Amino acid sequence: MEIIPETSDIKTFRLDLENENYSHLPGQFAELFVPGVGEAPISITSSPTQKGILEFSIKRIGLVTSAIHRLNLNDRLGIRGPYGNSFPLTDLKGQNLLFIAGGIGLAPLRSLINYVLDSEKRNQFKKVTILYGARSPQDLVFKWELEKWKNREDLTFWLTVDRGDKQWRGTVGLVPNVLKENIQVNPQEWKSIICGPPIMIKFTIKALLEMGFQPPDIITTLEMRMKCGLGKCGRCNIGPHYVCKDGPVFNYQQLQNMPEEY
Amino acid sequence: MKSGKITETNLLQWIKTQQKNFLITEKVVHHQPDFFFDESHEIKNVKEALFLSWDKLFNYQWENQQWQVEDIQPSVPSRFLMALPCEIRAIYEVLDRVFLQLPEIESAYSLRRQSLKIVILGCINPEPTCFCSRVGGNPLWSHPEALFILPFHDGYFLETNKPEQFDIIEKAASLNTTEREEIDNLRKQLEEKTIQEKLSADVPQGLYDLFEDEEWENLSWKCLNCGACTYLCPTCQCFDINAEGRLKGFQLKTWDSCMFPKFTLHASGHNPRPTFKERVRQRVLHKFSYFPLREEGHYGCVGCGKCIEICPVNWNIREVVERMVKKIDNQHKK
Repeated sequence: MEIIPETSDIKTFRLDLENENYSHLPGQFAELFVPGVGEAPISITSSPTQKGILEFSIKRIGLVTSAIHRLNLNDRLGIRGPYGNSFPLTDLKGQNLLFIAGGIGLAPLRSLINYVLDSEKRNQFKKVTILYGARSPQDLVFKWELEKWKNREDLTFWLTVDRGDKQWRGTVGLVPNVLKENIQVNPQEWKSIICGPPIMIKFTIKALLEMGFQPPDIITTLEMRMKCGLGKCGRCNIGPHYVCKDGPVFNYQQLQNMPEEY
Repeated sequence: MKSGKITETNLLQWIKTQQKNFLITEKVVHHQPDFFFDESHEIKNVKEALFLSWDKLFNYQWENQQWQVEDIQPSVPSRFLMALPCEIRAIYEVLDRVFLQLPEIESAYSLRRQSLKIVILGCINPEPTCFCSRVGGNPLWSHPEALFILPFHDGYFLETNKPEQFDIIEKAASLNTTEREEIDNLRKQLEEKTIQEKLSADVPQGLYDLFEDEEWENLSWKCLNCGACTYLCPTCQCFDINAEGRLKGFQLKTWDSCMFPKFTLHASGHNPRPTFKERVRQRVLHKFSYFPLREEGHYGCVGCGKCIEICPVNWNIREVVERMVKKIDNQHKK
């Protein structure tokens, strides 16, 4: 296992898989298990094109995530899954993709971003734009990878923070505002994939709709308290839809038809 | 289908010879106190026979500087279970649909299910809290795999499609014409007395459309959120998974309840069902809307009335559903 510190309370864990046949799709999640503490559902942030490893970026917030943060390089972590649907790869192929992420919300999108950017997959997709924002420069995750994205010629990369600091030379502004002010795309020809804190998702969707995006072309991924991951334990449902099994990826048209109980 | 009659003495004798392998529910004891012969056989509700309140999934231990994880073979006793038609419907209509649907969370349910032999006691004394026919059942509902028994003037009527599983059927004498007529009349009387129309097919979607209705707020005031109804309900199947023991222990699956605020609490502190209103609405809609919407119209409630009987504040799910159904009807009229 490799452990990469991201922010004061986020670490990325890169696990070497003991089971070589393990495979997942971008957007799925797994239940991570620490014996004696419990399980937590965490999105898989690595792309399935990265063979032999799985990456999870985890914010220290509850019992299990705190225990995971205390793990050492040689420790093992139990994995159940992968669970959930995934980003709709078939629908996204041949499309221009606009990724918008806030804070740790980049983690689930990253599995799809690196899938799309993989040398064997890149020609299956058209233009790629990534807009990533965090509260402050210290809250940005995957800084070690953002540089690579910035330097690639086959994608447009925007980075913003809500509040800068003395060293910050980049864009300052909230994600929805940066989106409206800087990103000019023909909404009929693009699909948008977004994830972040609930308030950011809310205002980003509003901005995308104002830009002319249609609800089915706005795709997001939800989080809920989960236990089983199989649609049986009964707590992650929004109406009749189980986030663990029917989700976590939904488009905005689907969300509009669900009650706002998430 | 094999059928016949048997004396009460012979039936009781058969139950007794099964000893520890014969479970009966509290409701059966209520109907036939003679069937009770030992407390260890009585269960509060049918899910205790299959989906245990407390079930270990696997053991773990910190040993030689690493974690050892050891599978647990579930206990799978071969048993008879005698319950009322409504209670048995909870198994066929709800629990099986959840726990036998692949992938399984663990193998225990299906293994126990395979080795469970079901005896259905026809219900001749429906109680005021019952409403099985409103949700697709009836007091004489049976299943061909089960042994159906019904008391009549001269003992018990027996019927099953699986005589090899129920040896008692060998002892059954065939019915004469008068006795056949008596059974048929009994069935007819019960139907006339108890059968209500099943809730109409548009109820699940209609209730879902009422998700934002202000009535949920009023309906939730009286409820204590104590969760007693969910623990005694034969169809409530929500569960929790937790680690018990720090360095040596086991992963534990336990019953859980949507009535508890922490049930849906995120680690971040956000709670999608923060108040009584959301939780009460979830319990009603899960059974009468979400479950049938997902499961081809089958309700997640069997109308046994247990939750109404035991509620400390007389919160009545049947009244609540009927009140909301009236709202659906009124909206249709508009």
